[in-house]
Amino acid sequence: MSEVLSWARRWARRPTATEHELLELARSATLDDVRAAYHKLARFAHPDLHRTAMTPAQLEDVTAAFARVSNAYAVLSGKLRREAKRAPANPGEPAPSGGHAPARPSTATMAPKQPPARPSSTAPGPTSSSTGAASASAGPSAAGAAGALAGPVRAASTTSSPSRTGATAPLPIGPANAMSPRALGHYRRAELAMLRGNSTEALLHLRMAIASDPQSSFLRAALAELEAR
Amino acid sequence: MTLALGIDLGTTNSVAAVATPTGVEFVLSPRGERIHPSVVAVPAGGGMLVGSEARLQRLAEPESVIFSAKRFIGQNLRSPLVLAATDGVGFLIEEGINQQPIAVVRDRRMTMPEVSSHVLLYLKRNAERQFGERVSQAVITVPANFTDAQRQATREAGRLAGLEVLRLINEPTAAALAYGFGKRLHEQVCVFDLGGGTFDASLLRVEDELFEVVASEGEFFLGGDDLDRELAEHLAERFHAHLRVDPRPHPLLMMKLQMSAESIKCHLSEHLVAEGEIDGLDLPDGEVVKLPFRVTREDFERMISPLVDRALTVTQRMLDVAGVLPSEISDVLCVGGSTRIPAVRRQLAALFGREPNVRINPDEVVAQGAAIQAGSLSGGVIPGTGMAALDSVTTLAMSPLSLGGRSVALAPPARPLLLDVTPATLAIQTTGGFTEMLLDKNLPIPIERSRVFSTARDKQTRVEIHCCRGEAKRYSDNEPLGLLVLEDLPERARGELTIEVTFRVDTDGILHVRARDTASGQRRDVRLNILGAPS
Ligand SMILES: Nc1ncnc2c1ncn2[C@@H]1O[C@H](COP(=O)(O)OP(=O)(O)OP(=O)(O)O)[C@@H](O)[C@H]1O
Ligand SMILES: [Mg+2]
Repeated sequence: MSEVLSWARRWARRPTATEHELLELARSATLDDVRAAYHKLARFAHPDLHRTAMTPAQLEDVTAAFARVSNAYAVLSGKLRREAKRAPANPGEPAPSGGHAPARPSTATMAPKQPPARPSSTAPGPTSSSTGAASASAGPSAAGAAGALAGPVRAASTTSSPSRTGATAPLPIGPANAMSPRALGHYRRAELAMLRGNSTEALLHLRMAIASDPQSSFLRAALAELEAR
Repeated sequence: MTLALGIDLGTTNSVAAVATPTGVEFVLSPRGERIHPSVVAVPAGGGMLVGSEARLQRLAEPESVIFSAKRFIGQNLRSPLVLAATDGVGFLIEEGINQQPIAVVRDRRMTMPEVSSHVLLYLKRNAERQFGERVSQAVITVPANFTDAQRQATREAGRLAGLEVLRLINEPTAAALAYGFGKRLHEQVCVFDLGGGTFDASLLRVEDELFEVVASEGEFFLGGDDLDRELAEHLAERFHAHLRVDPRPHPLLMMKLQMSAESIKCHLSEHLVAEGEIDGLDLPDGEVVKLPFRVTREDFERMISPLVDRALTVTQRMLDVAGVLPSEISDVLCVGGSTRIPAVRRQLAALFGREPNVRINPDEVVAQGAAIQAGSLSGGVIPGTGMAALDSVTTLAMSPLSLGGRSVALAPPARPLLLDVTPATLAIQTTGGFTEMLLDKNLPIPIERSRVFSTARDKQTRVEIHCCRGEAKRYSDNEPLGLLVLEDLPERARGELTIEVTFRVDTDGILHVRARDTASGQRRDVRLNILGAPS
């Protein structure tokens, strides 16, 4: 029991852990690997196995960590299944990284809803113009507009790794090591947004990174650099 | 020690069981029946009847009898399908607070969780008498496609009956558990559950004692009741032609025709022709008449074929979603009384290219699975304790011991572990009346996912997060779930303030929503106000 608790608390301290990290997998993991890893963790950490032996607070810690593992499993297995579906004919070739809408809308977990032609299937962040337009048109007339939210800023868990995204213009800032883990999560997303050419979103994430780690001079420099562009 | 019951709270029938040291035992009524009609009656003489006695009241005093409460529990009375379903019932349904349906019988007004709690209490009392022990905990099964409000209302029913609801589990998952527990299977099975009021098709991967739901699809208003209605409609036409009175405007007559239709339907599962007379039909002028009838199995199959086709289409869609071919399935489990209909089995066989498994008892298998899970969650069925509940299921199946003939002590069977899935796509409303999905359908639970949204207007200090269920792009085309409000936010330019919205679906399949403004880092755990739930 204490083993599963310390496992859960380890992840609680790392809110930005990647899917592969949560599932304790190498990046080359296949669909079968992902499933096996999830089953193994389920047999270890599923809250049902611990409910009679824990306090409600302890059980919540374990549930919270396992719920993130489930999400990691959902994201990775979904991605691998879609990739397999896309390229069954020539298995040697890597799946295309962007501009490809998933075959079935019901499985397109994070596909953008409004502009269908946006060149990325996994990154729903609106471009600056679409955010502006959506907000403006929503104004006072739309239902519930008083408290309306604009489009999503990021997909917390489906961002693909920079290596996958490939040869777009890299962000003009080097690898981060001088910031808190939370800030690093935002910074990584800023990087991704830049790779997709969405500087508004990148700016937003950079600001969020700074909000969670105001001390980091590295981040402030990055922001200055980005704003100058 | 107190017992934990496994309860299949069905639309038409309920079954309860306990994992005891001598195996899974079913809760019997005072007359010794294992299957208890989910019917509650408030007779003129006072008091309350539940189960088969209440069902008998349907003929004597139909307006005093409440049945099919599961069709209305946790529902919004203004939803068109729900309104349509109120047509077929004999009791009065009114709108209560939060737009929930209220059953009105004589001078009593009961919420649907109250009605169901009487069924649960009846099962609890019978179990206590039968086993001579207190029953304080239960696992209750629900259709896989039950919504949040329906799940919460079912929990509420348990609470009102004085039961601690350890867990709500999905009916097909429970069936697979009863089927596979202790067998150390490594296969994919499909569960086809056509009951009285609901239909589900699920695909599960079973690995040792781990039961993982891969996909589940269903239709909420599709079941034996609907087949009865088709046949009753046919009988009504005959009635009209034969007796020159249209019975359709007379609820009492229609109720009798519908009950007769159910008997004819069940007869046709065993025979090719049903022939006879429906007697005791009271005409509006006071005359009592008989209606002769003759229905062949072929006639009946023609009447119900659109409904059966719907169920098979859903099954096919479920397989498509799972990305699995029918030939990859090792077994097709028939669950629910309506799978006794030969046409249903025939079509299933055609779809899967194999005969469905009809050896399991379609009425009892769900409660049996619930009992195993109740035993497991309450600490009753634990590896090494040698609980015979486990042993009996193991020996019923092929025990690994009996196969190998070795006397080596095998590792004790692990506790069964159920990995269920989210019942629906869950989203929030964004500007322009669109939705942004947070969680897709058929994802493993418990699951948690966060996304960050920005404000739409300058100096916006209040954010409303409207949550809904469904796949439509437009918010208004989905089913609203509830609202979360963040207030007194710092004034910022639009897009500057970001809100992190977190959806968690717990092991009961119930959604919990949190929101946090990331700028101040101030976390506001605002509870979702669920629409249609008992308040
Ligand atoms: N031999 C039979 N032939 C056809 N239908 C049958 C037969 N026996 C039972 N049924 C039908 O099965 C239905 C009841 O099935 P079951 O008890 O599995 O449903 P339930 O669990 O109450 O409903 P649900 O699971 O939808 O909530 C009724 O509609 C009944 O008429
Ligand atoms: Mg049932």
